Amino acid sequence: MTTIDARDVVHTYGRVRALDGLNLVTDVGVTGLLGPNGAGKTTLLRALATVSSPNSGHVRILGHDPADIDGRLAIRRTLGYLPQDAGFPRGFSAFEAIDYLAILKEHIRASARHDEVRRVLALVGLQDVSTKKVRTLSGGMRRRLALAQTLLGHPDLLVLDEPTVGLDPEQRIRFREIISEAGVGRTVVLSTHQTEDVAALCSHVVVMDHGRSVFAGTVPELVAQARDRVWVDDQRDDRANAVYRLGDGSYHHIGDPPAGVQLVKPTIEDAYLLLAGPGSDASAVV
Amino acid sequence: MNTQPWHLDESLAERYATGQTGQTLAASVEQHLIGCRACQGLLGRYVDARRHDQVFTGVIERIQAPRRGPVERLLRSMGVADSTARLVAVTPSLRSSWIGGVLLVLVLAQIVAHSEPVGVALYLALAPVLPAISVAAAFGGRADPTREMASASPYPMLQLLILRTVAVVGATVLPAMALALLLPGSTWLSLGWLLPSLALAAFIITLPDQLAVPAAGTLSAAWMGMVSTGWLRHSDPYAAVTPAIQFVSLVALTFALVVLLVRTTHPQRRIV
Repeated sequence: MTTIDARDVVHTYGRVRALDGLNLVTDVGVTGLLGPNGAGKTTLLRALATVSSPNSGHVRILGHDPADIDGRLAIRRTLGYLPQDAGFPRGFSAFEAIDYLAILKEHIRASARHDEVRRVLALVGLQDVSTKKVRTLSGGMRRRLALAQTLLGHPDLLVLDEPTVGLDPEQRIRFREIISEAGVGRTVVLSTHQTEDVAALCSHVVVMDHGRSVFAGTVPELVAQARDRVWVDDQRDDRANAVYRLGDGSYHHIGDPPAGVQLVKPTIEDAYLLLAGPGSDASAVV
Repeated sequence: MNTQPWHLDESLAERYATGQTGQTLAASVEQHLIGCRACQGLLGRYVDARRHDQVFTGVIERIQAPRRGPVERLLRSMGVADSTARLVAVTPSLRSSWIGGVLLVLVLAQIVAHSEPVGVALYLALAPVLPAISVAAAFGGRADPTREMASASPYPMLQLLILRTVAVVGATVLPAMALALLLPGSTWLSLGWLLPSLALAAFIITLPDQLAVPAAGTLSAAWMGMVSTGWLRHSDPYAAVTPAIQFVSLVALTFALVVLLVRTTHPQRRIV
């Protein structure tokens, strides 16, 4: 079942076209958005979270039209949204912070609401620090707290804007576990700069550049985009789309290889750099 | 003093679990249970698991549940719903430090007003702008770190905005009105700032977030400039409280209320 269907979506900020005819179709499962800064990921996620509305285009989320007041309300009732800069009043305890957002999510009756708050805090492993003030929590804990509020009320759609940003490797793995479990039976759309997160979490991946989707498919399909286009050589070849020096002194190249070079197995990062990295020919791929 | 170790027997464990021991004996049992795993195990056999879970949940609830501050307690005592009281109580500019600062400024202005006439002008310059600045601080810019998440929730943002504005304006205007009654001169003139104040606050909440703080600053400066000019030119602290100003304020207030009413009844054109 298609859970998000966005076609020809345009969103402008003054003269800047943050979304420039974007198409996105998702199903149940975890969809990852990859793209450089300014690709339009946050603008797209804000539109999916009904926080902003595009200038034009067709958008259906869980069968509802977000431009319609009733449709928007229906989406919000089954949505969990983690913005990039999610924050809480620092004087709140972890419990109070989630309790406050639970009220806004129509959990009115205090005892049932408090049970729900305890449930989501336990899901993100913060049940033991529920009485601690937000200001005393580590950055990783605050990010988990922000994730906890998205899980209130068992939403069908989770929209997560760079959920793993600023986390250390251990915290990122913990976060991946939580998101992976949360993604069972529901739609999760997340943006990230971390190709490893996409490889570990996502059943579907969309690469965005300049407000457009330049690739949509599975992770193996994305990796296949770079097949026979990655090579290692002792000499640097600046004709490649992207080049970087490896620890052993050789150079890793991504692009159209010259004859006779040593091709290597591509990674998801290679494919991403080929599609949306510096020197990419994204417009030719669309 | 008897220092021999003792333990619960079956009979004592059952009596304690069913609440049949006196308070003194119960206290001794509890003290002992803290450090004795064997007796904890024995007692477990006599405890009703359902009752245990209920008690434990109750204890956790008491520890974790948000503590009600004075604003929330006041609202609850007035019959305001628990969830509404909580939403109002967490308004950024309702925090005690902010309100305390506002009241301090007004009280100081009052003291000056009784010592020299310029104090009346000072009071009239400050009283109407403080609620407006409070409203801007509550909603403008990045005052509320939860705003983006709140915007994606089903709770109507305009309703939250109005709810908090009423609370903020009430918390600042009501004490300012009480202090105005103590000003030397006509009571009517002393309250002449009220309409401009309400108009300013109402106008500010009709603006987009990013304009709230600059607009509050600009309009507040304009009002203070008007009061100062009146005082400097005519040596009359009440020179700014003219019928024309009252009329303009009334028109602005009406306009702002109509805009809010239209947005409430026809919210299709606004996302947040």
